Amino acid sequence: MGSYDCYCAICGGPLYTVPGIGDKSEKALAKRRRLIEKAKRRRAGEEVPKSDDEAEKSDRATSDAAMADAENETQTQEEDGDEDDWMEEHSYDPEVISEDELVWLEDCRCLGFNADAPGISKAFISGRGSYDNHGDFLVRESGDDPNDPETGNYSCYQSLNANDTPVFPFHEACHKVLARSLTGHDDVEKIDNDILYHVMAQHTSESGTVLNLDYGEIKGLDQCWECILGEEHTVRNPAPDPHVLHILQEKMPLRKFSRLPTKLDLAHRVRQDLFEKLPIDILHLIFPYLAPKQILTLMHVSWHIFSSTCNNSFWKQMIRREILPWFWETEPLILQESLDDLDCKGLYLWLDKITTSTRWMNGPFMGVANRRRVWAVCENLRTFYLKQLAEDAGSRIDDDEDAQEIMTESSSLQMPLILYPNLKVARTISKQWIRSWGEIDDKPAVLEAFWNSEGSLVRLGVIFGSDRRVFGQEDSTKVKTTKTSALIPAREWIKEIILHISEVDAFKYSRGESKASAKALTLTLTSGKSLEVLAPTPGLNQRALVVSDGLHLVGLIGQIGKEGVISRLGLLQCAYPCEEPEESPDLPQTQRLLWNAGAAKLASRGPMHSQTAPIWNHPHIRMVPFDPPANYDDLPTDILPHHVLLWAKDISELKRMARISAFVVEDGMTTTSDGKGGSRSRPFHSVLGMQVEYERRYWEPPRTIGSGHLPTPECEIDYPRLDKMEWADEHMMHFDIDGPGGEIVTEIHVAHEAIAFKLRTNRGRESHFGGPEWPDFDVLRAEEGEILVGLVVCFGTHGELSAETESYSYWKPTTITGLVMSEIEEQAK
Amino acid sequence: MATSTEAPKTVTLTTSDNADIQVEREVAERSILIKNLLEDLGGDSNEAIPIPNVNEAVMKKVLEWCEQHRKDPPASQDDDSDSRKKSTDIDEWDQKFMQVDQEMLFEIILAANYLDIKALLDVGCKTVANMIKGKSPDEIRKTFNIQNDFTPEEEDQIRRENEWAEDR
Repeated sequence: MGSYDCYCAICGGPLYTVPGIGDKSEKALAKRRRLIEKAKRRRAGEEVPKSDDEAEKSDRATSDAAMADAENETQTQEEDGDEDDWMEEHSYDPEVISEDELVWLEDCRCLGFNADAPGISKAFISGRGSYDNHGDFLVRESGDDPNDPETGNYSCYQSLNANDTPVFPFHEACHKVLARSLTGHDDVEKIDNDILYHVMAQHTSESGTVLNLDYGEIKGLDQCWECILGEEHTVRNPAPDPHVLHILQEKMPLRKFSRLPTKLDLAHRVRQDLFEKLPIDILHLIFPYLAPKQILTLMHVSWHIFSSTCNNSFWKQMIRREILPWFWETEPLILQESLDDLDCKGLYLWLDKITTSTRWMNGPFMGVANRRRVWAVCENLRTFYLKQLAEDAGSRIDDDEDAQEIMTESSSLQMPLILYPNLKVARTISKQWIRSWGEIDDKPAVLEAFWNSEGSLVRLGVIFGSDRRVFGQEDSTKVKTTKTSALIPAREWIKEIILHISEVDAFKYSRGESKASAKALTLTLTSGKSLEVLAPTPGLNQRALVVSDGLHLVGLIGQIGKEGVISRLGLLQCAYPCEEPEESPDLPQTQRLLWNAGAAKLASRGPMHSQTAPIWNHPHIRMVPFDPPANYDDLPTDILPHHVLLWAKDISELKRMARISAFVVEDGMTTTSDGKGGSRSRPFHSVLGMQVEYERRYWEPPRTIGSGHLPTPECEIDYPRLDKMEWADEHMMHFDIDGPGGEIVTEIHVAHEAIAFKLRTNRGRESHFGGPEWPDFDVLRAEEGEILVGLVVCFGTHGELSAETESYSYWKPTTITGLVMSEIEEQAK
Repeated sequence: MATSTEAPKTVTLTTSDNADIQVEREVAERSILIKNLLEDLGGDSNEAIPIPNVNEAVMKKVLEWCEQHRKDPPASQDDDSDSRKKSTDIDEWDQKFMQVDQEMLFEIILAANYLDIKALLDVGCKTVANMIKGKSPDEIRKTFNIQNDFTPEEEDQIRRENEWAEDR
């Protein structure tokens, strides 16, 4: 795709200084004046030949026809002439706007969404940045907003990366106009950014380059910004201009809006007029719903309305209602009592005229005219903003000081996706569960979960006594739901909420039909006891929302997707007032990932014990942190399960290992250089599953992750062919390990995007799994005093498209990392 | 012979054309005028309340709206009602309710104004505004049945009064 521009969400203008000021030479200016003159004549309805110049030129060409050389020269001139025309038509008039007056376009920021922001609010205003082509907004400076993740590139309006949410870029000047419209103040911090983000997301246009709103008379929004002659006012700074007040002060008395009472009296010429039924005070109630132009049209057609509005107080009100909200410079003048001495209708009509955007407009009021245009966009946004604000205020009214304090102090460390596909436009909502600290200690609570007909989680609430506090969409009460519940005894509270989430089906993914949602729910209480709210069926993945040490669960925050299903969920946590909370608790990466069910039950003691612990809360197994894939356009990482292949739950088990194997399939062909100037094609292998086997005497069955059989075309799922045996040897790549002899894996080498990986042992032996031969690997080693005991693999990249079924049929690795445990601690045991 | 459920209290309204309409008190009290009158008359007066400015047909229509909106919360005070443009969104039931001829629409507006039913007055004004929006002068004339005998000069004079001219 070639270059394209995204535009300011508020004014629709370019997000960088457009290099569009025309040539200042006298010749060019004269040409420009001619072009404007002709265009104006044409607009006035006059028939103007397409180009006077062309006519002149053809005359000249005819007279010079005898001289062949000269003719050639004329042709060259003609071509130059056309080129000039184009240049003048597609540039701004240097006598109307200067380069300095375009500088404000550089001062841009964006409104974004950060699910990992610490507070209840998740939206943020970035630091300064500018548009950087191909839909990217580049933030150069860090902003002041605590939710602001960092500087860098963000996708405007829409994002192709499944892990990213888009941002809405705008000019700082437009942001202030919007603040004035939304809150009545210039202070942009008074805007509720979460609501604004939601409103903007609802109005993203299909092109994804601007919002789907009426930006008024502005024609520059093309694939890239077009500087159009006569549209200089559309790129003028809408910020307040002190110069304008001086001009108004000078011009207004001069113009002498002396009262001109109408001498017309045409009442007797009116045959019929339904509006005569309505007294003037009711007409005044109708006008605020109409645009000024429509009010003037009404005056034109109805004598009753015309004559009822021939008084200064009406026009004073019209100025206050229709002009003052955006023409701030008039405020000192309008509030003067001397307004009574003026013809307010005349004044209104004049102010309206000088600030109406028109093509080829010029003079000191261009900025105000642009602001007036921008104001209309802001007022449009305001309607949706206020509606949402009123809805939210209804659910937030709270007179209880204790409850308010808990909510103010609470934070949320993450808000992962738990639904796929997720809505692009979802609103963040929260529900307070704990309203006073005594509730945690003294009262038993009932936790209730509501599931829709497909078994997906739609609401989650607690009941203390008769008080029910439910997180979820209220009108989803219309949807038929099933309720499950569990009793949390007094002096116990929730330490972990574990959501059991269905797996995305690789077959259905390519057809856009795959789904994933929370299908079951279990809790871990503060005593360590587990509680089933709805028992999981086998095969569900687990997402643990763990309350950080030193904090307590006080509520939920999240988003609601289609038909009321919860699409994102996070915990609201708060420290006891008397306890000093940690500065900002750090969430371990294991608590940020979705896990395959096997990862929730890892052995936590020696072989004689059967106790298990989940990977996100394991006493001595640690995951080597990894960077999630930066550009990821398949599925959001939040709904991809991570698998754990723990080959040794303790040191003694390392001595039992016999081999590590991978189940591989041919995933297309790859062409590489043969080093002799030619090339050769080789199959490209992808790992679908992993297996570890132990020596026979140990009696431990092989441990596996991923898939150990060939992808089954969807049509055969019900009748699997017999040749599709699990872990069939012909598809296995084996790597023998002499565990009893002391051989252990010491390094894991992972290629870019995990297309291949290698294991290396303390004997210098290596295995190569997946992909073709790969030149660069990231090397993972256990730190001093630690040993590698397993792998964490996320199978989240779709394999080759099957020609037979036109669908993807399996997932291959997206990320691979290692698991380590402390060697010293283990030996001490 | 005591009944445990009390019948809802009703009031009788006498319209300008002398029709008596019996209606539940809660419904009638959507009108602030009637509500205040009833409070002034004291608790259990059975007297009919005269509504001299509204005829039976219009009153019935107004009460139909009151019945539908009997449980609505009291109207919130709009802080900047005079200084801002307003949205002309009307909810679906009200839109259907307002599908009447222009005469009736204006009568409902006048009645809502007289009876002090702010929400109904607003819906009426929005409906009129929606009928004007996007229409040409001629279309507005047709919609609201406006007929004048102005000469072209007089028409021109009115037009000039409504626009800014540099030579003013």
